[in-house]
Amino acid sequence: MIREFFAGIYESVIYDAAYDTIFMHLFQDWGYVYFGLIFIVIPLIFSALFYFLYFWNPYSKWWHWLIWLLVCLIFVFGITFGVANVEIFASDNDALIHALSDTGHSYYEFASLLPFLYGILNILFGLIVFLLFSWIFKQFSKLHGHIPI
Amino acid sequence: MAKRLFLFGIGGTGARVIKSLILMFASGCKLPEIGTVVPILIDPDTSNGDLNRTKDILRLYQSIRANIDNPNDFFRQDVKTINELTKEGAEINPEYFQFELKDTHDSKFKDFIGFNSLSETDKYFLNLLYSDVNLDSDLDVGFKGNPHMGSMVLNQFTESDDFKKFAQIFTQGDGIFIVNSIFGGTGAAGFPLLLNTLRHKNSKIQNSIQYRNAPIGGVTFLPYFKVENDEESEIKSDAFEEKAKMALNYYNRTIIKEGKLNSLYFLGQSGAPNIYENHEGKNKQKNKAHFLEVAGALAVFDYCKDLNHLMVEAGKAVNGTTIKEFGIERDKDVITFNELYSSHQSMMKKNLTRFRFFSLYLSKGLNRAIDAASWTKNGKLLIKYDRTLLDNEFFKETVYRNYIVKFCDYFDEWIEELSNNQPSFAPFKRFVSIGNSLDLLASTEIKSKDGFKELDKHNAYTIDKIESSNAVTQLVKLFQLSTKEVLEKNNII
Repeated sequence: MIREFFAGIYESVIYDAAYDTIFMHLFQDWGYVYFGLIFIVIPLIFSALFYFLYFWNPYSKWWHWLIWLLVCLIFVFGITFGVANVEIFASDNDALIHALSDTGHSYYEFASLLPFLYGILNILFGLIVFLLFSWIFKQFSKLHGHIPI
Repeated sequence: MAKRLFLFGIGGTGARVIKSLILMFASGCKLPEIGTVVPILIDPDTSNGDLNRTKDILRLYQSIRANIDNPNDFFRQDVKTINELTKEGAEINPEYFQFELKDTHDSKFKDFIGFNSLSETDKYFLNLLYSDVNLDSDLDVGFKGNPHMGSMVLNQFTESDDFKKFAQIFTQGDGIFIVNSIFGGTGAAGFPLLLNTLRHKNSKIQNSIQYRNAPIGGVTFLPYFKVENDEESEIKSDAFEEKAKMALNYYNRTIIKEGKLNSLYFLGQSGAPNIYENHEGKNKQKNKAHFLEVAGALAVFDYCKDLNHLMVEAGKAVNGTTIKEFGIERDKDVITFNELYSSHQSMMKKNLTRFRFFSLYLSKGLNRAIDAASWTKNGKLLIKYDRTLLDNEFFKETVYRNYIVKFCDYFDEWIEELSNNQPSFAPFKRFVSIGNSLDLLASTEIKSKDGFKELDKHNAYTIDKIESSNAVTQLVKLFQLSTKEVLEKNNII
């Protein structure tokens, strides 16, 4: 169920039937779920830290929040990029290994682009999730409830 | 009904003691047993600097207090004018703190006593009592250290409308306290006259029986400062001690032995080293605050503590007049809280330190917090109500700038003047920066610690505990609590 949910999200944006082996692998090996957890859990942690554990500074401005958001998105991109790389290029899926090593086909070039594309996509999703958690957490935050607006 | 204390401040010293008392009230000190304090200033010198400064402080105190819902710490002591007690809903007007003396405005002493219409024989007689300078004195500047003039002018006290109003509202259970100096003109003359008026039957004044048998206390200041020698001035400090001795003799015969007072406090400083500029009155007479004026304010606290046990019959104190003096634990040139008697220390240290911290924060720490600390800004898209009324707009409003800031300026000026006088009462460090804003007390050393930042953190959590319908209430109640928490947490109070 959860695999279908995240696969639906990612494959609605990045999918090419000519490279189905990669997408099938990401689906079967829970790759999409990992990507999804990254854009949910990391913004959750960062926004919670900002609103509840950033207690040493009671003077916060909107740009403090922005810096936390940017750092969060960098983490989201980096971790997504790394996980996607491992998922695709360090897989023990024989079909995928074979496809990637087939020099007569552009599989490898296409696969090389994917970690970057998933990273960018997760930045967008992470941004939305960070905004959502910010709105939720600011309701309860004593020190930074006035941030970002 | 809660007891009321009618507090008469006669002359410049009376005004300065009331000033100290009001500033202590602002910090959370409260008179035991007393619901309402009614300060009454008696001074013919209506432009006197000390008098007007006290009136302005009283005005600000009342205006701020009127904006606080159920004040329960800072500004908790109710202070009212007689006019407010007689008329419900009367506006705040500091002029009503002062008793108006008839025919003293723009008038010379000889006009007041009708000198020119007297027979030649009477004029010769009066010339024995009053010099030409006395007779030509302008009453607008007070009596310039001449109690024999003051006793003539202040004798018409009972005729004033203000005194009639006072008599009308006085009820059983209320108390009276009188503050005066013995070495000047207005205070030295006014005290025995006022006391006689209060203790004698007066069939013309309805209700006089009520105040006649009321407990009365007083604090009389013996010389505690000198003024610069000025050949042209009528005020000579060389005569202060001699005048005080004569007046004491008179007080002993006519007040103490007659039991007219329940308690009489004497305060003074023999061989006072501090010398003030010599001004005969008007707006230039604005003396620096002195520790003994704080001691005078403490005498009011001491008197109120015993108020329930003081009995008066037929205008005389049943147990005679108790004479009291003020003492400190250790005699030092620079007095801090540590030198005070323990009960004074505990009340003053706890309250004045918190208010000082509040005042310093507003002048030095607030700018950093506006629009940055959560207690100064409401977030948007919040489901719950607005947390704070103390936003940037509030800190630009008249009630903040012209009342709270101005009152705090008076408080800081008072602290500064007390520390610059002799003896120096300097419980606080003179310079406090943001980085070491917890290092407030002169008697202790605290390693650099940003106390204002701690206050801002506490405010962020405490503001939700404050129930308030307006910003002034929220500000005052927030800081009365957060200053206490921060200072207690750091073992400062």
